[in-house]
Amino acid sequence: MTRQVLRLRLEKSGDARFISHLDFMRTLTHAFVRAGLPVALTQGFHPHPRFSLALALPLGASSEAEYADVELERTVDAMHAARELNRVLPPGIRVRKVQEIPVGAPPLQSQVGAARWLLDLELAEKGTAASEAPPVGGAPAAGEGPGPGGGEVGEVLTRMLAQPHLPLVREKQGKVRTLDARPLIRSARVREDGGPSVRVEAVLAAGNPSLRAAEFARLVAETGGWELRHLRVHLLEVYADRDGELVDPARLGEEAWRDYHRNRKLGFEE
Amino acid sequence: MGERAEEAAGRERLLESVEKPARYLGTEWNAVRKDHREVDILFALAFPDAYEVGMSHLGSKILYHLLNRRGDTAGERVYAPWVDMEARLREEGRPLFALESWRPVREFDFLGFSLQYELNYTNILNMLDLAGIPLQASERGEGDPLVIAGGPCAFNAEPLAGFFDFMVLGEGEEVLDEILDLYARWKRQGRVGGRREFLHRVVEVPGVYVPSFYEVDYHPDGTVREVRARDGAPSRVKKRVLPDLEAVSYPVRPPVPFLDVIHDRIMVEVFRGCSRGCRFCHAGMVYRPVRERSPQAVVSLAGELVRGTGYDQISLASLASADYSAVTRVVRELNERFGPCGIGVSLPSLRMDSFSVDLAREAGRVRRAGLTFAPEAGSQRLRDVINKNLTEDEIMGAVDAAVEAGWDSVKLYFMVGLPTEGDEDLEGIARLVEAVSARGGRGGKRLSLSVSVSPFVPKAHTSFQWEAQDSVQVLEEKFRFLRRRLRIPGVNLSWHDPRMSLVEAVFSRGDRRLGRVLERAWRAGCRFDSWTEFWDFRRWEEAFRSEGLEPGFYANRARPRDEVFPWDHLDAGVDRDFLWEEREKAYRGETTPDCRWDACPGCGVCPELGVAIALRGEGQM
Ligand code: SF4
Repeated sequence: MTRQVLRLRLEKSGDARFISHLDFMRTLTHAFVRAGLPVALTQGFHPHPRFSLALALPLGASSEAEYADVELERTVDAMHAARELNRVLPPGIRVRKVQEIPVGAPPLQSQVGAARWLLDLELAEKGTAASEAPPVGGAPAAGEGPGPGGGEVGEVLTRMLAQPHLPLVREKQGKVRTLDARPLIRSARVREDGGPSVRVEAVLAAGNPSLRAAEFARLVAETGGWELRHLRVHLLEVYADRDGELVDPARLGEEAWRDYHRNRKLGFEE
Repeated sequence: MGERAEEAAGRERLLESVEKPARYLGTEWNAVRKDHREVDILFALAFPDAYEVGMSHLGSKILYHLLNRRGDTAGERVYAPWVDMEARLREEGRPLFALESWRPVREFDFLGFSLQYELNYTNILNMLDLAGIPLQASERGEGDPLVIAGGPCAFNAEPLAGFFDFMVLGEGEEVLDEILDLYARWKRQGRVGGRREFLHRVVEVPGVYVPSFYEVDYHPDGTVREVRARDGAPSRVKKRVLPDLEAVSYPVRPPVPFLDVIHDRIMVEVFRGCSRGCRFCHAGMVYRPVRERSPQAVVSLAGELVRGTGYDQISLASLASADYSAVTRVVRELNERFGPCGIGVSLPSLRMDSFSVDLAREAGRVRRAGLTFAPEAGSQRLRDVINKNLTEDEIMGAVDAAVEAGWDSVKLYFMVGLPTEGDEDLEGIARLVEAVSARGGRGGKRLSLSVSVSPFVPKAHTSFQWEAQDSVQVLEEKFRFLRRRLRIPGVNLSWHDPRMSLVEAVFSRGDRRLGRVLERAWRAGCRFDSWTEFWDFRRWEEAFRSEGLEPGFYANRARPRDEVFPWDHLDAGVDRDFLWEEREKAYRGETTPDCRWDACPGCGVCPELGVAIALRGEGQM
């Protein structure tokens, strides 16, 4: 029987945003077994399923663009596979699209260069209780009072994008490092201004190098001289980045087929 | 915002503020979420430890299934909230909730705790407090849930007597239904006579123990003079035992945790009980007799569980799975059926012989697990004393087989402070470890050994219930000796805190007066005592001192043959005389064979409870 690779586009919403990246992987692996879909295994002493997620979503973020590349032992009808999976996925996790990818095509994980995020920023004027920026989906700090509105946040975004450099302090395993975040921000604009928070849409570098949504939010707050009281993050889409041109996964899949057929015509084996 | 929206927003903010929110979602695959308007009974199934521990417990999966199989009952789970969640609950003044509905557990009809380990007891008080339920059963009102308990520690939960409305001794499968039927009827009758009346009714159910119906008198020296039953309660409460495992439906769709819990795999219970007769072993006494599931049932349950959960690992669960009479055939069959799909088989708690290693090799064809053995004692003499029927040849045979099969690391468990133990027995541990370590030298690669040493904890209902535990000082000396002796490359020695074992020993043979110590320790901040990061012995010492009770009285004191024990009225079915004879044989170094393969040595369980050993290995597959 011939193998098959499916690229699933999943939604992670509601309670499911509280499932960590690793736990989400495990949850999907279990669902494949429940759905009776035979995931191919790696060789070796500790075989594991041939399965990868395009991006590691931070805990607390929701997403409509969780891409999973999964290699199956045998060919199944892609739509049928999606339906069977949706029967056995816990609340908040749903397959929304499925695309077949040629076996051996590069996994999306290795191609991702940018991601489009929605960020709901709850900002406050500084001066009340000083507090650390919370993690994604973090709890609000104490303190009341109206924060900046969409107009002010929009101005700050414009100012940020006009800067040649945006120094960002990143701490990793106790080591503090300063990097330039400016080239990692592709675009950013205010989408909505409703209630206590301002909704920003931003395209940020993802994969390697990457700018985390929470880091971007911190930069916005710092630039505006505000305090970030609450942050809620949602992933809209991921892309490959070709010298600034954003290519979405659907097109990457089509290109993979084109390459596959061209190689076949030229007589190459996969 | 409407009330619903506000509630939902509050829930999200709470989940956002803890480190592992997936512990509290209640939306795991197979979690049963019933509409409370459509059921009569709300039962909160509580496990007084972290989610990751509770979700690994087979007994809780069984009870959850049986509760929710009833049309009139919603069974929901609740675990000890982790310290970050506890802090948030207290800050917000939000009461402890059940996972599936997020409804406060104090609005439930029952709050049932599983008693697995003495060092979880402070978590019980903490959970009651977080729930807003009075700690003492006597202080609860008509609106409060009935707070009940079961599990192995219920056989001597006297230190908890004041906190529970009632407890259940033995296996819960049948008695649970009887209790709930009774409750449903009482509720339909408009809860006539209040909770007091319900206790009077439920005490008639065999296996139910209502601690408030018993009075305890003490001698001036602190030992028990008498336990008197009142209010028509039976003078002895006999444990319940399920004669045929297959007569009760098994959970083939247990909730599948999002988090990586401790035992994150399918568990098929292949048998219950163990009659090897290790003289220190509590489980080996209170779960008698051995009752197996047929190989056919095991294999078909495994298949249903694979489809129901999606796990890729099947564990054959029991107290000693290599003793299952159909183990070889079942392992082979499971491998044939599920191996090609990448689904592996594992056997916890192996015996240390080459048969078991061969089994582990066969089981590990898909995914090989680590090897863990428990010789328990270092010398043949002491192994005979504890009736661990295991010879040096068998041990070495197991090691050779393991090395040959390609294992390069092995875990070994020992106990120190066992009755009659002397220097030569400790030296025996060291020599045995040396010998095992030397066996691995072949092929250039050393066998790496993790050696875990735990203090012996005398347990109620065992042949060693009369014995003294070594003092903390003596145990520490013994450990230091082993550490000096075991400075061998490739050997990694670890040690269970003797102070934790002291508190465990106190509560495992404790009386009702200890309830006050427990409450004081909890008030001083004790919780998650089995977690080294939260363990604080000084608080315990302080609690004992304040209550005027001496831990040594409970832990380090040898009891005379005829002392009345606080748990004498709690009957596990095993004869006290049999236990004493076994103790005498221990001191003579005589072993007792296993009644599965030899004559019945007469522990008393079968005639007393009207059950029999059930070996079903011959069955078709
Ligand atoms: S009564 Fe005899 S056969 Fe039954 S469990 Fe005890 S020792 Fe075994």
